[in-house]
Amino acid sequence: MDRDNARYMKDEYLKIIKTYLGQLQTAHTPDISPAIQRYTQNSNLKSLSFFYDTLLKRSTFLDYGIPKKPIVGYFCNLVPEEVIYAAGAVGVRLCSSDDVCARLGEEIIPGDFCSMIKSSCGALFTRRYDNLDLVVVPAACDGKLKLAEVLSPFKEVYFLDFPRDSDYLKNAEIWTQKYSQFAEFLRKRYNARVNREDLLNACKLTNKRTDIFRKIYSLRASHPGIINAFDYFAIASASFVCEANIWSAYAEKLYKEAQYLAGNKPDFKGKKILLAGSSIIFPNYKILDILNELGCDISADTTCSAYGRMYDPVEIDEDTQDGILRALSLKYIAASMCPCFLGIDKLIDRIVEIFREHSLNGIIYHNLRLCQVFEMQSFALRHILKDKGLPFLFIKTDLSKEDTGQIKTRIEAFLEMMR
Amino acid sequence: MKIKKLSISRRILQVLFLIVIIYGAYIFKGGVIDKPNEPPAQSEAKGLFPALKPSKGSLSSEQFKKGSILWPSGDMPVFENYPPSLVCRFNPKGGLFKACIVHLVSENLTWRTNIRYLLPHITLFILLCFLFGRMWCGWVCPIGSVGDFLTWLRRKMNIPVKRFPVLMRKGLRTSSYGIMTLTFSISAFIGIPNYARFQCYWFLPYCQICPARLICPLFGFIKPNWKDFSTAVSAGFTILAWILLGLFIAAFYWGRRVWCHLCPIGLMNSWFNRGSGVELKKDAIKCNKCGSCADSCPMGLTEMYEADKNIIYNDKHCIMCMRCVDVCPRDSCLSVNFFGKKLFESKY
Repeated sequence: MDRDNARYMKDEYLKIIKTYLGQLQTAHTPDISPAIQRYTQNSNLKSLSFFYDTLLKRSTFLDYGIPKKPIVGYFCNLVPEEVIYAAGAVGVRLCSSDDVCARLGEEIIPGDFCSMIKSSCGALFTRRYDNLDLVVVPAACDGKLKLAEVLSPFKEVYFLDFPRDSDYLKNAEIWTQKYSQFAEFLRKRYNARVNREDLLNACKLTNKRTDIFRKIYSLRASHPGIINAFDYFAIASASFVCEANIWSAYAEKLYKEAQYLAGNKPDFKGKKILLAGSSIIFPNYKILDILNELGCDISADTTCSAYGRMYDPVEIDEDTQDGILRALSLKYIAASMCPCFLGIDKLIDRIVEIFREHSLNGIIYHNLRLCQVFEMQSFALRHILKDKGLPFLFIKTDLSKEDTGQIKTRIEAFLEMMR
Repeated sequence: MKIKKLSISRRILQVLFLIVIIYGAYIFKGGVIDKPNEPPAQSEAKGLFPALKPSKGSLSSEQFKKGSILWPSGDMPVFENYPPSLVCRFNPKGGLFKACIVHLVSENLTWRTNIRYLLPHITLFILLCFLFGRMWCGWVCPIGSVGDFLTWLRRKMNIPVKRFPVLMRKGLRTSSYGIMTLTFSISAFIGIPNYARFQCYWFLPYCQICPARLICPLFGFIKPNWKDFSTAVSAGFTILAWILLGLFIAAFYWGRRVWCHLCPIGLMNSWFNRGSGVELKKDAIKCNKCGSCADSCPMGLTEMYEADKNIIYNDKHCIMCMRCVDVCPRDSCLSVNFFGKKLFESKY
């Protein structure tokens, strides 16, 4: 009975998609090349082109370049990428924030819903998921939970659920169990070993990535303007769709180039801003555009697309198979600052620490409209950070460009206040 | 992956101390051991303090006949001192130092030694504990090193660690008080002249069951006195010793340092751990609550993870292995301090 329902829903979705693909020929593959042209014209770093090329080439995964390996897509920052690598597959993070996709997604998902989910669902229309073998959806928020249901008629969905509490003491056993089950699933599906050595090698790859990301992160904080915020988030977004080892090789090149430039760069005059809150993923650069116009630089961030994704390493204590899976769960879940988990102390600590360490000027808390969890904690954040004397601005927006003027006015006022 | 410097140096030091403590006697005595399997001649050992002698009418461990549990396998030690970590009287050829603190206290309770002879030894023990705390357990103790080797073996064989529940850990800690109290009260009881006849069975009760007595001689390629069924009491002790040895191996093989919850020597060290020179510090704002510190703690302590404020941490149960500092992925979140001076800090 259930299976019939699923087939019925698939037919219905396909009907909608066909109708729309007939009407909107441009929507077939959302064209991000104008955006790339726009954001690359200012940068003087040569090695950046790889990252933008990757973003352009892999907006769909139809020609991924590795024909033999299956591609496993996943959402969020809670899925252990290392396990996917260890199973001999390629992991790509599917989180998307494209305005065109978000509008297409409204055909399936109600309009008053998180635009990230809408966009991820709308990507169905753009053949983004066609070449994927499996989609892994973690139980981060309610939106992701139901997204798994929407995607399930098209692709096999592995649902990874954990308790909504990132307390190590209560839940470490459960996380390890869930990750082991996931590893077991991949093992069966791809006839892979996923043993200790495979996991260790995969961890080495991602730790190398973390290593270089940290270098870039601290270089940006200490020398604002060398790698601007557009490029920074493009680099981070490129890591979604690029294998860890290739990404780290190019990022290292970029880091060396930027380091060379940093030596003879005049001092940055504008304000240094810390961006917290919802993730910034490539085409959605509205906030960055506004800040760039006002002469600010986002020197640091705590978003899950850049800092949250790559700053924390896997720290292996027990190098047994279970021990590595446990260490992965500590990196991905226990250290996660995702608002879908209980408690905001971690986030506040991070914000205050980064703010003081790099002597930044202000904090902008960016919230994608209709994400309840981010919005709920904004009140506590505002009051606690105000109490600590840090300038804080809460901005609620979505992927569309309609409210640009209004947000610009608010940020202008905020910058004025800091002076 | 970062190189875990503290863990590597701990491993190296553990091996070095194992060699020095167990084979040190070979170096200092020039390697001349004439009659390894005979009771040693009267002590020629030098020490910082005069050697403690049994009082009139008391037995000393040298007087036990060959083949009995308490008959020491080799020569007298080089130094008549009792360092805080475990160096066994039953080492091959006597070893470098005399014995552990439990041996010292229980022997002298039986001998009814005057406190002024005992005081220098006790003072040295307290001083050493005050300087390094339970680093003696984590970095020096040879039996801990043997156990860590078993743990290493388990990891190589890819067997997941068994994490024991908090209640069991508490139970083991309480049991260690029980073992210590029982040991000392038996020792004091048989010291009373009227009951001195029990000394031949009950002398050094903890040593008779201690796994170190069975393990240490093996390092010198000497057969330990591993069975004695001559009397009912010694038969009981023999069986108990085997059970404890089994427990020891199981505790280290499936768990990590679970034995150290039970060890009465560690218990006596732990009284001086709080306030010792070596201490751990946490800078709470830098913590990302990943739980690596609690996850890697061989003693199952979670206070470091739970702390929301800056703390100076030297809990009495902490063996100062500093694994938490080593695995912490945050720059300078955890640090090791020696009398307020920062020695190491966690580094990505």
